[in-house]
This record gives sequence, structure tokens and C-alpha cells, in this order.
Amino acid sequence: MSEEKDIVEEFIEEIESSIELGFNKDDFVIKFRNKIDKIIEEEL
Amino acid sequence: MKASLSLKNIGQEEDEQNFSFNSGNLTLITGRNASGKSRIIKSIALALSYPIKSQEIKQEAIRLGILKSEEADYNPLVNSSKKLGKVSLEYDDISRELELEREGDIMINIPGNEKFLYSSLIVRTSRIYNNISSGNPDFNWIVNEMSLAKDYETILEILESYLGSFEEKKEELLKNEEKIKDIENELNKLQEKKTTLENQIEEIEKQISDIEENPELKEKRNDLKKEINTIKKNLSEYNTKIDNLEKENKEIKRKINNNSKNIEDKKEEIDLLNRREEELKNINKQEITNEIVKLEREKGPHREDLGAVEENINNYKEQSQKLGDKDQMLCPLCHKGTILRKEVESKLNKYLEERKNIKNDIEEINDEIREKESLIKEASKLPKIQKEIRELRESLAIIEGELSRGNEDIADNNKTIKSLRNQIEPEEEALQNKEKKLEQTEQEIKKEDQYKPLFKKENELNRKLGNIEREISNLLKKKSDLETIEILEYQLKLPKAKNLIKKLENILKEVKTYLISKIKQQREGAAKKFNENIKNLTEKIGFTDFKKIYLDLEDYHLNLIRKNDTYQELNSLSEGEKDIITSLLQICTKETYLPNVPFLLGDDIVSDIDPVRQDIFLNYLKESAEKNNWFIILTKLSDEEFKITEI
Repeated sequence: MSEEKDIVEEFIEEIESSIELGFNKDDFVIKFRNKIDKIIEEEL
Repeated sequence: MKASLSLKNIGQEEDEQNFSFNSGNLTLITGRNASGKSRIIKSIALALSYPIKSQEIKQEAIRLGILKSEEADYNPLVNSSKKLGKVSLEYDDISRELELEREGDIMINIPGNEKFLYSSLIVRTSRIYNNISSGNPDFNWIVNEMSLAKDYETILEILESYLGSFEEKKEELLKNEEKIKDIENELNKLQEKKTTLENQIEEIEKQISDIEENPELKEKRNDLKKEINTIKKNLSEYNTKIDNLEKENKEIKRKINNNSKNIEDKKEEIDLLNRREEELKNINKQEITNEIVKLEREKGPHREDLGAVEENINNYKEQSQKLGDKDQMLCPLCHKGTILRKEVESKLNKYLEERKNIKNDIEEINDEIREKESLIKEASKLPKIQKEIRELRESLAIIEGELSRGNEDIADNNKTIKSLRNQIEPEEEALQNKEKKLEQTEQEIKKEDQYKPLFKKENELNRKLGNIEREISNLLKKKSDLETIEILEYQLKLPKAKNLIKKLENILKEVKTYLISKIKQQREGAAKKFNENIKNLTEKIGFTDFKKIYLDLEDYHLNLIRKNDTYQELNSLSEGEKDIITSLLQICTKETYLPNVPFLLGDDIVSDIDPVRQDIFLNYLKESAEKNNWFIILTKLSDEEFKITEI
């Protein structure tokens, strides 16, 4: 659970950082996907 | 802070023009119509907002006259006689360079913020102005477009698309699990069937292995059958030959019998003819002829007697006729005597009797003559009879020859039959032996024949087993396919996929909760900030006609409450009030949403405001400029020449 919480925090940080820098949807889609891929690869 | 603006081929002006502005000041650009005031405002707005991605803001930009619409041929800012316009804006170490092609393409070195158009450009064609002007109180779009809520919403959309796809994957996963369960049940059934079949096959194989295989026996049986058939064929041929010969003999015998009878008949005939011949040979024709002549002579006196009698008969008949019914009459010749009927009749009868006798005598002679003549005639048949006798003898000889040959043929045939029978005997013996051997072989082979049904059954069972194995293989493949699921291009085993989806869902749902709270916070926060700002602003500029101007936190509708606590409909505002409220909302929007871009631009927004309020409003802007260190640049229509003044 603590691992999941950490990942949630990472996601939130990523979101906030993207918005702070001026939100760009295309960039964010890639970043978001990379984050998901990372979770899957760790799980594998 | 200084800002310098350079325009080349923008608006009606050709060549390069340079302008400079100071932050913390309110800059007024005044001049007559078409003196080039608006192009300065529009150029700065474009330099600070381009590129524009949002469709709504793009429409706003087209309405504002800084972007080309799809229907238009040329960029509205570029001089109509030039192909390329240039805008350069430098402030606070930032240098924005734009190249505007007349055809519409725009290039910029540093991207601007499209929200600038909503927040920092006050014009009569702006969306805020249109809202107020048309009486539409719905300012939901400000909250959406200008706050960060929109960004969070976009992220939420992305996140929900993942959650949606995970939901679909979960359904797919469950379906796969159910299918796998069904397949496993089916596989168990098939496995049972397979085991049963394998046992059956094993049993049959055992039975087969118990039977000693002997192909030679089968060959032997075939050979024996062939030999038996050959013998039977030979025997059949022999018997047919014997039958034919016997039939032939029978026919010959029938002919012999017939010929024997013929021979008898012919012999009798010949005897008869011989006797006749002898008889005829004894007949003396001359003598008989003489006798006939003699007899003919003997007939002469009889004929004469007959003539005389005939005459008498005629006479007495004549007398009788003359007598008629009379018993007597006078003699017609002598006319003297009397002729008596009785006498006439007696004489007539006497002569008639005599004539009869004479005729009989003659007839007897004739008979004798005819007899003699017949003898002569018969005697003339002698050569014929002799010929007939010869022919009969010849025929007899032929028949006797045939008879003899028939007997010979019969003898020959009997000989052949005997020979054939002699041949049949060993063949029949051989046949019996072969048949006996065949029977023995069949007995031996009988065991062999048990293979056939066993092999047939084994083949059938193997075929069924093959089908089941194929079915099992297909199901296993199907199962294997179902055991993995693709999640975001990763192939994962179902349990792993299940855990992963659960984990990702948990994470994303947490993030979703965060985003929802952020969106609410942004919207409400933005609206609250907006309300706070507009309150301060109205107080500052002494816009005391209204007690309260605020966005409702439920529906984000703009509410205007007069001093007497009555709601004011937007479309019932005066033109001056509309201008002021539009400007207030615009400044408030900028203060709320885009305070970091130090430009606030207004294009002819104060002309319709009454002079007292105009002064108050301009003072407020100046204070804002000073307080925020902004460049506030307004255009204002005047009768004077084009002029830029800093207040």
C-alpha cells in the first residue's frame, strides 16, 4: 500500500509540475504513459 | 521596466515603426479613426498569445481581428500591399519575434499564452463584452478556460480513458477466466474420453498382439482357391464336352433308329417291287393282245344280237305307244290281225331282258379286255418299277452307310467320353484334395480374419482419438491465448494482469480523487478570487451603483445586485455600465488568472463612459499599473493626431 501511495504521490507531482510549467496535453500524455509503463515493467 | 514594440508592414503603415512603453504607467494611444491605434494593441496581443490551440480562443482571436479566419484570404494585420509583416516585442529580457505571412501563416520564436486574449485584452468584441451585451449571465467558461481547472480536467480525461480501458480489460479478463473455466471443463471431458479411447485401443492392441499374424496362410488360401477354380473350370469343360458328346450320340442313335426303320420299310418295298417285277416279267403282252383281239371279236355276235333286240324293243315300244290305254289294236301293217297289249308287253319285256343279258355279256367281255389291257399297262410299268427298285436299293445303301457311320461315330464318341471320364476322375480327386486343403487353410486362417474387425475398430478408435487430440490441442491453444491479456501493449498472464489492473486502478483512482478535488478547488477558488477582486475593484473605482457583483459558486453565473438589493439583468444595463462592467470583469479576470503577464490592453473601451467615471476608471488602471508594474495600454478615439501619452 505504501508503495502505491508513493506512486500516487509521484503522479500528483508529475501533474503539478506539468501544470506549473504551462500545461501541454501532448507532452503530458507521453509522460503519463511513461509513468504507467514504468509501473507495469516493475510489476513484470 | 521598458517594453519596445517594432512593427513592419502591419496595418496601413508600411516600413518599420518602433514604439516604447513603460511599465507601471497607463499608456494612452489617441488619434482619429484609422490612425493605426488598434494595430498596436492587436500586435502586442498576438505576440503574447500566439500560438492559439483552443478552438474557442481561436474564434475569439478571429473576432478580435488578429487571426485569419478560414474563409478569409489574408492575415488581417499584414499590410495589404506586403507579403510579410513583422512584430517584435521586447520586455524584461524577453524578446518575442513574429513573422506574419499575408497568406496567414505565423511564426513565433517563443510561444505565448493563449489565455491572454480572454484575460488581458479589453475590447468591445471580446467574449466577456458579448456575454454582457447579449444578457447572458453564464460565465462558466471563464472558470473553465481561465482557471487551471481545465488543465486538471484534461488530465482527468486522460486518466479516465485509462480507467475506462482498465475496466474493459477487467471485463475481458473475467470473460477470459469464464472461458478458461469452460475450456477446462471441456478439456476434462475430452481427457476422460481420450483415456477411455486409449484404454480401448490398448485392449484392442492386446487382442491383436495375441493373434499370430501369418500372411503366408492367406496367400496359400488364395492359391488354393485359384487352383480349385482352375480344376472346376476344367471339370466343367470336360463335363460340357461329355454332355455334348452324349447329346450327339443320342442324336446319332435317333437317326440310326429312324434309318433302321427306313431300311426295313425300304427292304419291304423292294421285296414288294421285286415280286411285282416278277409278276410283270411273266406277262406276255402279245398273247394278251391276241386275247384282246379275240375278245373283241367275241363281242361282234353280241352286238348283232343286241341290234336285233333293240329293233324289236323299238317295235314293241312303238306298238305299246300306239296301244296307249287300249288292251288291243288292229295290226297297222296288215290291218288284219289283232295286237294284244299283254302280248306286246310280254314281248317287250322279253326283248328288254334279252338286251340286258346281251349288254352284260358285252360288258363281261369288255371287263375282260380292260383287264387284259390293264395287264399290258402294268407290264409297261416294269422299267419304272425296276428303276424304283434300283433307287430304293441305292437309298438303302446310303441309309445303311449312314447307319454304319453313326454307329462308328457313337463308338468314337463313347471312346472320347470314356477318355474324358478318365480325365475327370483324377481332376475330381484333385479337386477334393484341394477343397479339403482349402478347408484346412480356412480353419487356420479363421484366426487371421479376426484381425480385420480389430484393425477396423482400432483405426476407428485412433481416428476418434486423433480428433479428440486435435480438439484438445485447439482448446489448449485457445486456453493459452485466453491466459494472457494485452494491457497497453504488454502481454500479461491473467493473474498478473488482474493484480496489475487492480494496482493501477487503485493508483489512478487516488489520482482521480485528487484531480476532482483540484478541479473543484480551482473552479471555486477562481470564482472566489474573482468575486473578491471584483469587490475590491468596484469599491476602488467607486462604482457604487451596485451593491454586489459576483459569480455564483454553484453555476458560475454573474449576478449584479443593485443598491436596493434588486437583481439587475445584464441586458438591461446602460452602454456605459456595460463598458465599465466589461472592463472590471476583464481586469478582474486578468488579476485572477494571468497576473504574471505584465500587459493589460484596451481598445477603445472608455469612449462611452461618462467623464467622471472615465477619470475614476483611468485612475484605477493607473494605480493597477503602478501596483502590479504592468504595461496598461489603452487606445482612445480623439480628434487630434496620432499620439502616445503615458499617464
